[in-house]
Amino acid sequence: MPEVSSLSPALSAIAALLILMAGAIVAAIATSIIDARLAGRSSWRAAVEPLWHGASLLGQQTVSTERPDRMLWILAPAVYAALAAVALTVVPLAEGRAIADVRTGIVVFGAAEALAIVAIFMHGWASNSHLSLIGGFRFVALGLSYELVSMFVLIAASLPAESLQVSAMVQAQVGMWNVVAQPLGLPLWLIVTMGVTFLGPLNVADGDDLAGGTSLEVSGRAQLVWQLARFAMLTVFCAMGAAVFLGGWLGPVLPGWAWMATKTLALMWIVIWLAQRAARIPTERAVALLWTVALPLSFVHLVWAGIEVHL
Amino acid sequence: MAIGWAASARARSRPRIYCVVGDGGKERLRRLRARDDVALVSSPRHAQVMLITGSLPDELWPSAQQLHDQIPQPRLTAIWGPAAPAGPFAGIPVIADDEDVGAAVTAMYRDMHCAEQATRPVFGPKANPVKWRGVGPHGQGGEGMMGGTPYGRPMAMTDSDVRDGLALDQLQVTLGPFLPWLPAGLRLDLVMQGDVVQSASARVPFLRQLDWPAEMMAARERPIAVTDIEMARARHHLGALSDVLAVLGQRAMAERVARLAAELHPGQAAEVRRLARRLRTFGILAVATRSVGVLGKDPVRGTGCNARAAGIDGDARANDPAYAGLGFEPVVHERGDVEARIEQRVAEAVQAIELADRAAGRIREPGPILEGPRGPVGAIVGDADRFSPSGNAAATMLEGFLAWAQGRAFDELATTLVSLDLDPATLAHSPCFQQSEREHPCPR
Repeated sequence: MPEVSSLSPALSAIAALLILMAGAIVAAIATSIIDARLAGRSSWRAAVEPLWHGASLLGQQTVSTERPDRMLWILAPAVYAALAAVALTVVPLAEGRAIADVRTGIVVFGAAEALAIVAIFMHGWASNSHLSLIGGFRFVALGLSYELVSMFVLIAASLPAESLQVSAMVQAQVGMWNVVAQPLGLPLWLIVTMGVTFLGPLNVADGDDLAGGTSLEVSGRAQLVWQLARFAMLTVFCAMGAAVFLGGWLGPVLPGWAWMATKTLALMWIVIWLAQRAARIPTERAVALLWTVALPLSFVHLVWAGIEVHL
Repeated sequence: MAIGWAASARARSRPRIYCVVGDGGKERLRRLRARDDVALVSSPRHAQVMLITGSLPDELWPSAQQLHDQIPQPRLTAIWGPAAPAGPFAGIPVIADDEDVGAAVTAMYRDMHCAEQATRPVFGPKANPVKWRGVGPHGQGGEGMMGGTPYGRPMAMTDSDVRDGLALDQLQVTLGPFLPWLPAGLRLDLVMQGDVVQSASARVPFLRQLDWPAEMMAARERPIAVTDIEMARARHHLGALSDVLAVLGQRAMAERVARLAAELHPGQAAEVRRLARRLRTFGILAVATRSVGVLGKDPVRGTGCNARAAGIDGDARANDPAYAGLGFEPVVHERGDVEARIEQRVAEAVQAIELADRAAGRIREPGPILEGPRGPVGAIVGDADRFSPSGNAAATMLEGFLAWAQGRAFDELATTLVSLDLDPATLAHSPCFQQSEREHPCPR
């Protein structure tokens, strides 16, 4: 039975955005701490640095380029954040409770993920700048590659539950978490997460070789919103990974939402650490690796999941 | 008061610095990267401080002005170098060489936020000074509705792709002169289809001062301790490595390597090896850099580290009597890709530190060919320094790079060029630049 929340749609939207905002700030702090530890700097100062940096971005001028596509420039971070919120609605945040726990949860999630490619390309296109455009192009090239992997991984995780509803997928992990039952799933999911939030090795959209890529010409409040949207998407994907692979709200002693938060934070930490540690892979090579290594692995993973359910 | 809190919160953040590298600025940039109280950014839009490192030649001031205008307000401009600037930036704060640059910039940054000082106005004109130049009745240029240069901006025009002849839109892109991964002052003119380079050419960099460690510059004229030369070499190679890591997106590791380089002293070979092992774990570096940027042997001949990374066995130290008896053997890697150049720099840095340990007290007399940071050089011959073997080799390498770049993706371009560690000052008389550029330098 779908557990649709009793909140009105407007309140649900606000709740989703608040949760994402909190998640994004936590992700920003985690990024700063991990960056400081890798670089050999003090972590304490790094923990508060994102707040000061956010304040300085709020006070910075939002510059414009010559003849940008103004509507798309404003829409792109908004669309990206909105898609993160849409994806969050299907993820169960507490014991059997999601904002909109529909029976086709992973389909909604996949749709939001696919449209994110459009949002990021819009961001690269809008500023009317060469290097931003290249960032947008490169991301579109990568987009389909990780998209397919994510769908096979989610479908495989839905097999034990015999349902596309995410809370049913969590319920089906009472005996054994999917990270143990389907070992290839979580590593592939982490790769997908790095792809959709263009972090680390898959940072083809905002890479340092493009001097910031799609966010090259973005400063001030617009930059703050874009980075928060990116971390919001990271939060959602880590939450989905926690729900689908790490048993979601399942766990002793603590209430369901606390377990969800802990597992999401753990996955977030792992993804950010991997992203900071790894070097950016050339786009053609990344696409080749996703199609020739990750996708066949996801097929193997799907077959494994099917056999396991059957046995 | 809310405004006071906001300003003080802003003032506590680390200043984001965009470095404009001039003569003698590259080494300062690497020292800046090692600091933990400031952050380097790759785009001027993300910066709050424009820091000119070294000194800029006159031809590059217009570009510096354009860059200044791109930095959002409130912005701070300062110069970290030997002399106060003349011309358009006269009057900006000067940070002396013996000052703590991080502390100086942070203090100025805090003053800017807390005291709410007025920011210097933009240099450029408010309206576009270039007239609309088109051929069609609607002002469009070129063929049909495409191409031409309306408003001085080259528009995309269809042309055949170099790889397979498919006719697609091609954009003219000019990069530089202050793009972080380009040699300072160099401008690249690319024709791009998507992210694939169709053709590449370069424009003369205008910088004149060789980017060499001071010890090696001195070693060409007077006796210097071998330990000092080799420690300088190790610091240089680690600095070049941090540049590559920064372009690869590994900012934290780049900062770590830069800090190790800045604080390097004899006996730290093991620490450098440990750091290199960390870089290599899980094949992170291999998957990002193997088989990327293979220029072949001919373009890199005589360029020191790059030549040895491509399998060309040759090092002037093998014939230098100052190194006799120290057990010196040139280190060589075979593949000649970016990964090989990184490994080569690490290996040569480790070797240099070990030589410095072993050569305690030994003095090198000037005379024999010196193995500089980018290849062998003879003695100074006045202004013809650029025609030394090292200078010609650098120009050949750039030409080889521009020829290689055809048909390559943009990310490979950036990683390869930064791994070559080109010194722009040695390129001034290379035939690969337009003759007219040298005589009538154009700031754009």
